[in-house]
Amino acid sequence: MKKICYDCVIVGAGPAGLKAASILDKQGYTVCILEKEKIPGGKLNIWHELFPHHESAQAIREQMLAGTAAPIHSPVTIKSISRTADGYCVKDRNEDEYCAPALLIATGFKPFDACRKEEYGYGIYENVITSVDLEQMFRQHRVVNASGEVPGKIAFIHCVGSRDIKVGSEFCSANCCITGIKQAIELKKMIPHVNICCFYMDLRLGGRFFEDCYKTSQVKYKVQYIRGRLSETNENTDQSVILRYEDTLAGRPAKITVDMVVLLVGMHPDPSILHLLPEIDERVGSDGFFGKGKIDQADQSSDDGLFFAGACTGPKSIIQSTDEASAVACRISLYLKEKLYTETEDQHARLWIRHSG
Amino acid sequence: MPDFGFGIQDDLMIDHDRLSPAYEAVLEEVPSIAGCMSCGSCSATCVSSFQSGAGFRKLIMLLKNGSYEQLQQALDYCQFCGKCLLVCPRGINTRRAILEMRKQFKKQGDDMV
Repeated sequence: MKKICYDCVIVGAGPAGLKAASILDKQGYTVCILEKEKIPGGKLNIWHELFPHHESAQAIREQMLAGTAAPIHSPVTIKSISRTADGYCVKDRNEDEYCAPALLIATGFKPFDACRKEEYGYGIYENVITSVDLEQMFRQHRVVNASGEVPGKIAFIHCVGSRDIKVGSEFCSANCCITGIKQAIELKKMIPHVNICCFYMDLRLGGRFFEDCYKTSQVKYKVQYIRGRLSETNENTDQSVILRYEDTLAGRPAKITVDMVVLLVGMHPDPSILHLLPEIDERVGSDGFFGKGKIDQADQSSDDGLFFAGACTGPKSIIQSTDEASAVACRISLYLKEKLYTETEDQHARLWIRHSG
Repeated sequence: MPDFGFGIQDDLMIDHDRLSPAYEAVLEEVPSIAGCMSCGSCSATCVSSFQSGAGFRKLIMLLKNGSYEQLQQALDYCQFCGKCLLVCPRGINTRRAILEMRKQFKKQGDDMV
């Protein structure tokens, strides 16, 4: 049971948390990161390569961890968060306290639980897997189906847990389209003879170089794109899976048999930080993510020392998360300066004199 | 002989397990057709589509789905004007692709060899 005081406590050691820590740390603030998992890095730990340039997730993780000298406490389970006169006090299960005038929530997202889309057969048919499961296979450099054979035909299903009122998520997760294309290319590089069909409603490829990936997957890797949302899956006796859908460009019902189905699961809000502090719960938007998502980013310019960054404020790529974290780190820096320092006019230069902490 | 009351409806379902050898053959000759994203620019500009009911993107779709009969009918209407080539945002050699499709179905006349 100990109490440590910092300038800023960051919850979550993913890309956003690490980026904000590195900026604040370099500006001379004392920062600590609390991480619920054993190892820091967030979702970088479950990914193999990253879109759009197939960079190694492990290398990016190492680079981000090397970028900050801030202490990372992990695994930490937060028991309570309380408001104090000086800011916030976060208490963990061991009754250790981490206190700071500024609190940054960077808890990221949670991949959609595909079992909830029962008609797609995840958790029922062994050859139906998610994009997260496929990344694990990539990390082991071995992609095989349930009977240990290299698949000859694979279907990618877009929008699983996204744009779907039946699972309570009407938003687009924004990153699954490009993830599917990236994974299709990776599979084609690994197993050149594999036949890949992607089932999509729209392809939402807003990011830089995403369209290049799409065209490369079509022209160079011969990935097929079939427009239509999957209706249901059935399993054959040989464990191959039949998909039923409409080819909406042809306007006719259609079916295909594949050896493996990959569900591109969406990004859902991570509820682990909720019910600890009313001020945090108040900031939850209608879609479950924090903030209002307005242009002036009012939800992030905080006057009470509570900040949010990364995928906890909406589905984001790593680039977008770290960009937001950088902007929020600057806001935190200004906030702390106002709170902790006094400006004096010196004969030679303006000086900031620290008066507390 | 009088007709019976029940006709047999052709199966409307598309079977994507069935291969399309003609698509593979055309793809070999004109690799750029793989880049079609079914935007429909070609259909809207096509001078024959109001007769054939199919612009270039639909020809590709019929070819991929193995609907050869419908495809052959639509191919007859192409005048090789090349307007689809001008508007294609993916730079597909549509004119050449249609010629290859017609070769596949031995539809080319002497004037087009």
